[in-house]
Amino acid sequence: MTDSYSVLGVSPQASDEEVKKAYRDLARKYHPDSYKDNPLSDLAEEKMKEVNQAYDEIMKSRSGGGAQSNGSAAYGANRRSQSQNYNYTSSGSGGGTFQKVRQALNFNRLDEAESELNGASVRDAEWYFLRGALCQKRGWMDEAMSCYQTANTMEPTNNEYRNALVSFRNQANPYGSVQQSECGGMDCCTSLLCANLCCSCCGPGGF
Amino acid sequence: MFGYVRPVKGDLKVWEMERYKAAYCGLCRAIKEDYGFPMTFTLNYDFAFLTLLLTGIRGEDTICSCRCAPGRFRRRPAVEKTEAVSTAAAASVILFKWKLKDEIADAGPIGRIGAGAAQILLHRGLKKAVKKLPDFDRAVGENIARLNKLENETAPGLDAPADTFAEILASLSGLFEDTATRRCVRELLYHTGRWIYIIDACQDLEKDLHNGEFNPLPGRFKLTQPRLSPDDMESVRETLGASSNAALCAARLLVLGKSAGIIDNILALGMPTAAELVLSGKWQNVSPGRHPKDISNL
Repeated sequence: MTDSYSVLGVSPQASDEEVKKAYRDLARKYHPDSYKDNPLSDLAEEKMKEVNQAYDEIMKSRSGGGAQSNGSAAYGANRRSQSQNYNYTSSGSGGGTFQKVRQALNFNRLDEAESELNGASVRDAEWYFLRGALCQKRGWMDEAMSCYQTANTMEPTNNEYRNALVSFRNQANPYGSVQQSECGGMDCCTSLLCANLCCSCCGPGGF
Repeated sequence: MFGYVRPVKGDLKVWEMERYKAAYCGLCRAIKEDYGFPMTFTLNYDFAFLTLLLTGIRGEDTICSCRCAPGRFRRRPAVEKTEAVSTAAAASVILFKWKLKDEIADAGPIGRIGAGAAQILLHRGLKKAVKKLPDFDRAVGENIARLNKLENETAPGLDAPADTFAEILASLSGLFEDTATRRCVRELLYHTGRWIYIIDACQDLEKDLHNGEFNPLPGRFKLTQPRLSPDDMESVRETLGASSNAALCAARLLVLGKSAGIIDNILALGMPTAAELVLSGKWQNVSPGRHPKDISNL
């Protein structure tokens, strides 16, 4: 049980609300959408399973082992498996070649995927989409972006290509515009004033 | 080329800021003890980041103190000199060694004399660092050779030249035996290296064009003037954001102990802030300062 609490990063004395908040924060961090086309997506999936398990164990033990937890269902049942990303028959003219590329990408066999793409006779929208995914996994983000844009220009109504472009843009800009940091809660001056008052209460020496 | 990888200090807890400064001071002490005082002039914030990363992974969090000569000989907290800190120190010196070689090859007569003199004076320290991290030294040499070849091509793009510096930093992941850790460190350092290369290209665009030195941006964006258009800046902003986010995703899969919050700050906030300052032309207003106490905006 101590391990479950340390997985969520809370103390065993934390309230249910604190446990739930810690779970939600971690689930947001390791959600599959944050690791789409990321070569570390398998490690994120393992981490997500660990977090879900830890949350379930804590909630089960706190509710006396009878009630079912609701938390993990929200992030478990609705979650797409990473391996399903490319797991459907290609409908484009690339046919069998692109299916091999998708499988290779699924298993992070990037050299194999690149070799198959280079040997393709047709460079259609699907080719550019898969080339974009390959570049993204390799870390060649500029070419990835160009390829996704080209795929969308060639087939603007294709949801898969549009989702890839949107997802890439979201990952590139997860926090929106850069915000100036602001003091939360009390401002710095009020905090110092309170600290000073506490010092006086403690007697000479203080901090 | 360095100094862009920093935290946003207003969003660090006080103890995290102290720990960040201690990483910087600990790295300085390691460089001074292993390679001599003059080599401490190679010190930069980016390698303080590397120190935090390597000590975080190893779960090392002991802080001791050391006397700081530039800081009027006052005692300052510094991370204990462990194998992780020594590794960051050696890596920093090796990169400096290759920078000197580059100066000798490309700079004007005065630059070449200065770099040549530095190479002779610091020869023993440079050799010692190479002996400590021979694989890293080899990776730096190979990737610099790759970069030099790309610089002679007509349209190398942005990813290929950035890949060379990214691979230099990523090669440090070979120090880790555990496969999962090695994969995460590789991704983190690859994208940090890529981000540094591109942001430095943005900052030095005008200077490089003036001096006739290679810069990937004019070829990539077909520039007719020495600045990026708003559309080009948006593309650069997106590609920088893609790398800083990829580095952040990799860092979050590592167990980083007391360094976790600081590294999260650097990747999630520090990098985008630095990118905006460079793209808006305000980076030169950020006080470079050699010592962390001089960090102003960042």
